[in-house]
Amino acid sequence: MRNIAILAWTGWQENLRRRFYLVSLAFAGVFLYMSLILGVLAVEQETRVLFDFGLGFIELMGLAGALYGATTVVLREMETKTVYLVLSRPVGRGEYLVGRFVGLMLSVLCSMALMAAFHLVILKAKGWQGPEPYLACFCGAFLKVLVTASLAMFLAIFSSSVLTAGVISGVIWTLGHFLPEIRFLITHGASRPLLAPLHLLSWVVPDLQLLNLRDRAASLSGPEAGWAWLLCYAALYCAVWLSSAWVLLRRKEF
Amino acid sequence: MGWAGAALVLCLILNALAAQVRPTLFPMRQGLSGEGALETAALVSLGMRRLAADVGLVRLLVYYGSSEAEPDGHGHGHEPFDPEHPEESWGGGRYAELGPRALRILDADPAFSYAALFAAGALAFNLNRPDDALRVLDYALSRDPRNHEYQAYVAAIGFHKHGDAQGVIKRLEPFLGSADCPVMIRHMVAFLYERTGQRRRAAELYRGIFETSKDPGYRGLAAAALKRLAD
Repeated sequence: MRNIAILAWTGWQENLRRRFYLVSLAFAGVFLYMSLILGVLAVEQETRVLFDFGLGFIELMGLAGALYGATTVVLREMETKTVYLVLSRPVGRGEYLVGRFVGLMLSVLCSMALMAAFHLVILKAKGWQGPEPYLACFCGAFLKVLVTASLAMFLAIFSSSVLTAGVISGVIWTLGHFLPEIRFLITHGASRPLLAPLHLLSWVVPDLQLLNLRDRAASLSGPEAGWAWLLCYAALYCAVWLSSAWVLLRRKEF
Repeated sequence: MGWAGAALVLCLILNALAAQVRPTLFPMRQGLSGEGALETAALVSLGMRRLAADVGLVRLLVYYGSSEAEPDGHGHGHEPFDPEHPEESWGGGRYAELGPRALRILDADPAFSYAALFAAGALAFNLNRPDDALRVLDYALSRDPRNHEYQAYVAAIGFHKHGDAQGVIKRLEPFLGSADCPVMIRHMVAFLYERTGQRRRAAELYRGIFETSKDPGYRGLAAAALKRLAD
C-alpha cells in the first residue's frame, strides 16, 4: 500500500509539471467564456445553458487529460526504461500499475476540480441557485472519466500504441453513452443476425449513461441508481480492466 | 486467455445488473432536423442530451425571434407590440417549425418543461394556434404526466379558446412565480389583468417583469405598460 501511495504521489507531481494540464485549464477557460455568449442567447434559460455547457466541457477536458495520461504513462516509462528503476526495487507490477493510475486520476481530479471552481464562480455570478445538484453531476463525470481511463490503460498495454488505445477509448466513450439506445434496438429490432454484434457490445461496453448524472433529469421514469451502486459499478469496472492490464504487464519482459 | 474470459464475464454481469437498475430512455420519435442533425447527434453521443436540448432551445428562440421569410425571399417586418394582436408583432407569420422544434427538444430532454411551455404559450396565445399548442403539451405530458404546469396550460388554452380571460388567469396564476414560466406568459397574464380591470395586480406583475426579466424586449414592454397604467 505504501508503494502505491509513493508511486501515486510521484505520478501526481509529474503530471502537474506537464504542460498539457495547463493547456487544458486555459482551454476550459476559453470554453467557459464561450458558454457566456451562448448563455446570453438562451435569455431566460441562461444559467441552465451555462451549467450544461460548462460541466460538459469540464468532463471533456478531464477525459482528454485522462486518456492522454492513461495511454502514455506506462508506454513512455517502458520506452525510456524508467520502469526499470521502479521495478528493480521491491515493487510489484500490480502496485506499479495501480500507483501510476491513482496518480493520474488524482491529477485529473485536481484539474477538473479547478475548472469546476471557476465554473461555479461564473454560475453564482449569474445567479444560479439550482435545482441541479452540482456535486453529484461532477462526481458522475469523474466516475465516467475514471472508468474510461482504466480501459484506456489496458488498451495501451494491450496494443502498445497510444493512437490505437486513444481512438478505441474514444469510440467506447461514445458507445457507452448509447448503451440504453443499443438495448432498445436489441429489444425492438427486427433482424436478429444484424443485431448480434450490438448484443455483444451491450455486454462489454461500460454503461456510461448510468453514470451520466448530468443528464439524469432527462430520465423521468423508473428507479434511479443509488450512489453505492454507482460507486460499486465504477470501481468494479476499473478493477476488471486494471487487473487485465496487470496480467498483460506481468507477461511483458523488461 | 483465461483472464480475458474472466474479464468479459465480469463486464457481462455488471452490465446485466446495470440494465436492471436503469430503464431505457425515451426513444427520439421526432427524428432529427436537417439544420441541427449533426450537432444533436454529436452532443447525444458525447452524453450531453441536456446540452443538445439547450442548443435546440437557442435555435428555437432565434427562429421565433426572427422574421419569417416569405417565398419571394422577403421577410415580414416586425410591428410594434399590440397586446390585442400579439401575432402581428412576430411578423404575423405561422412559424410552422415552432411545434416540431419543441418536440425535438423534448426528445433530447423530456424534463425540459420551459421549452414545451414557451412553444405552447407562443402557439396558443401569440400565434392563435391552440390546437398546435395542445399537441406540444400532449407530447410533453406523455413524457412527464405528473407535471402540473402542463396540465394548467392545457386548461388555460381551453379557456382562451372560449375567450374566458378570467379562466386563463385562474389556471396560470399559481405558476407565474415558477422558474420555468416564460416571461411571455407572465406578460400575457399581466395584460389580461389589465383588461379585466385588475390594475393593481397588472402593475405588480409588470413591475416584476421589468425588475427581474433577462429579456430586454419584455422589460421595455413592461416599462411602457407601467407608464400606461400610471397615466
